[in-house]
Amino acid sequence: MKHHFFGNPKSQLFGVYHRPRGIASAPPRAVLICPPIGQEYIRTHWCLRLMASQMCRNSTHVLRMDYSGIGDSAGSVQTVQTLDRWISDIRIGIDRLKELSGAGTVMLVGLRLGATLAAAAARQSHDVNSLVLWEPVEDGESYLEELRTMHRKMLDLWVCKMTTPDDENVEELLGSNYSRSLIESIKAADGDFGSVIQPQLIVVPEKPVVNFVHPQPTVQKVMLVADEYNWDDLRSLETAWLRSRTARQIVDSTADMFERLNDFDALAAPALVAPTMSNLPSSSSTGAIA
Amino acid sequence: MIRTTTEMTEQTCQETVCHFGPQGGLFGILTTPDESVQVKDAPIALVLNAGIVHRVGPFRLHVDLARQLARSGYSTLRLDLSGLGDSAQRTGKIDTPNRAELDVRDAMDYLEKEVGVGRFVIVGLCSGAFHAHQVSVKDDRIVGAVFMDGIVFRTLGFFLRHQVGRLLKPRFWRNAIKRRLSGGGAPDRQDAGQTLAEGEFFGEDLDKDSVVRDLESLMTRGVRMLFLYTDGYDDICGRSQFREMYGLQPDEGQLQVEYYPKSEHTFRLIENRQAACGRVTSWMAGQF
Repeated sequence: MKHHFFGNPKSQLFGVYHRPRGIASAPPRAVLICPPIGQEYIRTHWCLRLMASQMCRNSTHVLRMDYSGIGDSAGSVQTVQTLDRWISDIRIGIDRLKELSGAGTVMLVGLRLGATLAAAAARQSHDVNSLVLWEPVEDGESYLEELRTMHRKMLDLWVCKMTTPDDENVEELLGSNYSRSLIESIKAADGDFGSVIQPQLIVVPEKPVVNFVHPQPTVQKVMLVADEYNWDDLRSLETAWLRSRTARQIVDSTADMFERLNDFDALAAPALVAPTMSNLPSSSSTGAIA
Repeated sequence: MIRTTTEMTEQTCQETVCHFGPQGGLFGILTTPDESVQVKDAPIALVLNAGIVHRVGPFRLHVDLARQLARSGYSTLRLDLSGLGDSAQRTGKIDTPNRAELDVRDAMDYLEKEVGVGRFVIVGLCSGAFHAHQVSVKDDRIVGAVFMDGIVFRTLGFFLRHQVGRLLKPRFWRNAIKRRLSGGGAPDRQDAGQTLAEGEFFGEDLDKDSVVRDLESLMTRGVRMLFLYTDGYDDICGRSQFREMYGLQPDEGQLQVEYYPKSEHTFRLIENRQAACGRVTSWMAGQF
């Protein structure tokens, strides 16, 4: 593992690069992991680390990154004004991973809001070959409401009467201060994954809240996994989120996706013709193709 | 050793990636202050993992603390103990039941060699405080320690204040009923091993007399100590419990004790985190 800072020298991002083990694949396969934010970032750190280790054993270059104001990166969440900042961080991460791996294109694997950000970054990037959207946030407003509800419940059950000092500039949610403009930006975020042209694997619990539909059905595959949906459970706020079985399924699926992308020559350079997900092997999937 | 450095936006500190220990498998981030504010000959603070949370700490507590200390002129290494966060598992024969002791020793050896500082203040929350205690008594390079919700023992005063006292508080009953109505209790676990037993974090053979002896030896050695406790920590209630447990009288000098009656164990609220980070920073400034 190579731990390092990268990006703008005045406000650097922290990343962990996992070099592929064994025989390197040609052309190189590269995955950028886009984590969630806030407390979800902390809860999922170990799970994403394990997934990255498994991927690198599959001859894949992996970069895990922290967005501005999150984890070990510079700044604080309060200084982030809109989601564009984090989308541009992902863009910086893509360039860094290409530099480290020599890959011409990368796959983005995003979890929760990280998946929504990854989809937004993919819309703007020709060098993103595909996406894995793991329990993505489909509706920013509902996501915020979940955070607010948990925050209110947490304060309600406090040992004494407690409030957090929100004002016209900031709102505190589960231990982080969000600027009002960032709140508005999250509110406006949507899971319009149909407008993303790259092949995408959506990983959701067996009873998804939303039905995913893509105008080009062969570009999107939905993998249903036997995980419970508990992101809004206050009792789990400080519990490590471990999904080893699902992570393994994702690792296997990404290997399949890389094989198929390679068939379309979409790994070395941006694809001229978009590959599809229609013939992806489904041996590791518990779900159906949408 | 791989070292990459970043300047923080505040322009008052730098952060450097550090690898140390066997095959450089242990990892930490060294936060150093700008030269203009650097306190000369100050010890470096070492911040240990709290439970299984990686080095950023619960609700990013360790990052906030490291950067606040840097603004006041102090350096901090927040590290991942072996097998946690991004540090590798320590393999091979280990001659101590507590691998954290080896990890911290390796961190201190590294900083002594690379940075030229040989005095340290160890900081830990919960299991981090337990490890901090174990390391402090064994290594003379530790000149200060901050124990946040560390080792405690229930006392008669605890039972009177907490067990009996809370029964008299309407809010206790209100919260208990609300928790019950909302299906409270332990969260559902899907993966085996998602929870860790207390014994995996804390030594189970701790007895009060040995802890008292340890604290007395630290006092004799001149180690400066700050104990922070929160109401959210199950086994303590009130600042006075410290004296009840250890027979030691806290003061404003070498042995300082603070109790936060409105704080959760992991400093979930910004207000609580700011209070804790501010207290540790002012304590550092007063002691070193």
